[in-house]
Amino acid sequence: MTGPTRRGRVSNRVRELREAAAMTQAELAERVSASRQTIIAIEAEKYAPSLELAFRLARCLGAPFEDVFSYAD
Amino acid sequence: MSHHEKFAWGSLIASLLAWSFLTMRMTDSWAVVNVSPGHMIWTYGAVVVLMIVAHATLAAILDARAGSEAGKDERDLAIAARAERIEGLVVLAAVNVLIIHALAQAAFAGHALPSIDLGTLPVLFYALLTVLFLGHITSQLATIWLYRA
Repeated sequence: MTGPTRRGRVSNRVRELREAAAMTQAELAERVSASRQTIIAIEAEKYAPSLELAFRLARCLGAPFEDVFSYAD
Repeated sequence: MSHHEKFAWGSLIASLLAWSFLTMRMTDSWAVVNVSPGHMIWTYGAVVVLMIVAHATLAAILDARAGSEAGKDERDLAIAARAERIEGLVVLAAVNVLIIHALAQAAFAGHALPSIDLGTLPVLFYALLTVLFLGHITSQLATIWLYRA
């Protein structure tokens, strides 16, 4: 579900992959049409992005969706 | 602090100032005074103008500073939607408190609860505007909290 999330349920590797791509949070935000604050919240796993934004992030980071996001039961 | 969080802080302060102005015009030692309809119309107009001018000025200043960050993305919209839901619940609860209080006062005269005489226009006017301010202030507080949570 999109929205503020309990830390740890939807985990992601956005920070790791962004840093590997030598991209700043502002650059990634601009490329996926989100605000820098939203990228910060996603990286801190305080916000679970919508499917659309999650796919845009994965595509922008050049990684398959399941390598970027994972869901723990 | 994001553009929208700054706007919520500004809106919160503007709303508290406008409500203080309303309280100053309508009460004396925290009791609503019996004022004329003309006084209430002037007060209502002044509060509306105050809120519009404050929010328009705030938006213009913040938009000029924020540039491309002024638009809302999906997280901003999700936070705004949650804050509006909370505001709706608070207004619903406050209106129900007023209704129950008015019914209790009619049915059980002389009860021990604090008395609000909703039968007089100045009290009704002040109570309804206070409920609207309460809802808006709650919405701004919820927005600030959700951005930080």
